[in-house]
Amino acid sequence: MGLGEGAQKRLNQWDLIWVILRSLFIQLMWDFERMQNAGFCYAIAPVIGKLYTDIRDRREAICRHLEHFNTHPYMASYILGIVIALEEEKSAGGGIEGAFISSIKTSIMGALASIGDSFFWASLKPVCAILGVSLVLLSGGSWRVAIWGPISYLFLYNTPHILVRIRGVLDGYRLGLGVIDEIRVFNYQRIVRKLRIFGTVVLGSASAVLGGIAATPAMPLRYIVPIGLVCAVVSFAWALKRGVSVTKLSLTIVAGAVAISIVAYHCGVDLGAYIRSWWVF
Amino acid sequence: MASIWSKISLVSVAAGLIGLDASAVGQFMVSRPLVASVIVGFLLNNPGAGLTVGILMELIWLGRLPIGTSVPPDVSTASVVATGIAVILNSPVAIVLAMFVGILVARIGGYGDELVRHANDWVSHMADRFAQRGDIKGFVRLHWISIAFYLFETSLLAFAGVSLGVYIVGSVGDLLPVGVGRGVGAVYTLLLILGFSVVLDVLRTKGSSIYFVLSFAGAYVMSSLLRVPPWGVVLVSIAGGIALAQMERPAS
Repeated sequence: MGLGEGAQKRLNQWDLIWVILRSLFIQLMWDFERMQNAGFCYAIAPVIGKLYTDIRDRREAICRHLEHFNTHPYMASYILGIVIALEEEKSAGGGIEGAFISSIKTSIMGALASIGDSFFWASLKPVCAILGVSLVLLSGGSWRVAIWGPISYLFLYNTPHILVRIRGVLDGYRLGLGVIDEIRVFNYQRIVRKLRIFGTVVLGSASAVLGGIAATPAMPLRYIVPIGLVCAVVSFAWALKRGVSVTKLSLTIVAGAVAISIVAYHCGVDLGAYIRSWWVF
Repeated sequence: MASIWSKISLVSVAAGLIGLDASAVGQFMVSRPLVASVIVGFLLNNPGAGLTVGILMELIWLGRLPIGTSVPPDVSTASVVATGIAVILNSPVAIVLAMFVGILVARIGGYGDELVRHANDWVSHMADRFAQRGDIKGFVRLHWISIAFYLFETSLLAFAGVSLGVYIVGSVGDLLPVGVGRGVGAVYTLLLILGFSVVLDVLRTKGSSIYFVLSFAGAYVMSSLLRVPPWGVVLVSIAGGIALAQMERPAS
């Protein structure tokens, strides 16, 4: 498309950095009516202020960005970048209609939201979480070791997150609409599948290790433990797939656990001798 | 008594600040239970309890995603509250019962978030008025109102949750004989298994169940027959996972 070419560049690196920092607040004024509209407008406000000196143009631009908008909070940076480029060209008299900018926003926000949801929420987050939790489980009860679980979780998750935040705005501004091709070439879907398979493999071994930690030497028929564990994981997963809410399931387990413990106590059985509870403290 | 109230206030303020990351500012995952619980654990000088609560709350809530307009349960306040109760009462029964309270708080917190977002409708209309005047500075100032809403909502919820929770869990815990505590604690493991199932459910993709079963079997053989230490098993599985993911062809 070559957006912004020929038009005088009036924004510098610092304006973009300012927008990146402000894009952290994109969810803040989230409302049911127009969702991220105010957050988006907040992020782009310094650019609007710099580009449009005439009060009427400025008012029109702010109102334009207060229209309904909703996408994945990280992926919004790409749209911010594109819109900054378009606004710059419009303000320089590039013959771009305000309605065109709005239509660009609404036409790509859905696709970017689904990429962000499946990549960040449904793949990267669980994979980083299971790695962090495995580290905690392996710590052997020392919190000084276990603390590396949350630290690595934050580090592994936020590296791609911050990269997308920064590159989204910079590349969106530099390439304009061409950035959509860049996202397509990157092929998020393929990475999503790889991440999920990696996570499933780590999860499988972590479950086995948990089983080994949980059973005490007093446990009769220890070879039953792995079978029971697989059955438990699979049946819970089956229940979740069928739409049983995790809240109900976990509340039932806690209530059931207390009930079983009371019964076992009155029958003179010490459950704690058979299943080791995993405690850090 | 004074020290309990100061602890509860500390937890509430922390809940407000941590909660901002979840719903409003940044989404750096500081608000995820695994991290939030540890922060509160450090504040109350018991990081171990934070970790114990954190890993469990982290796993069981992984399936709830903030997609589109759906507002997920308030997991961060839930884990902050559960950690607070667990540390203040400091017993094995308390930790499991605290999680029970935490799960309820997550549900209530979800409604609280919804309430704030309805209040934001009003803020959004205020924004329109500033926009009509072309007043960028006034519009930007509105953000503080929204931040105040979120801070107030989560802090209040955490304060109520921890103070009521300490009272209820404390009374229930006193009713139970000491021996029951060991049994209740043992079933913590069962909740962890539920958490693992949640992750399995979230990561489900075409043909992935075979990877889970294979990895489980492999890890079991390694740890029980070959006597590989647990960290070795996990390291091997990480390497194996990377290799398998690399070999995977794109789904057609």
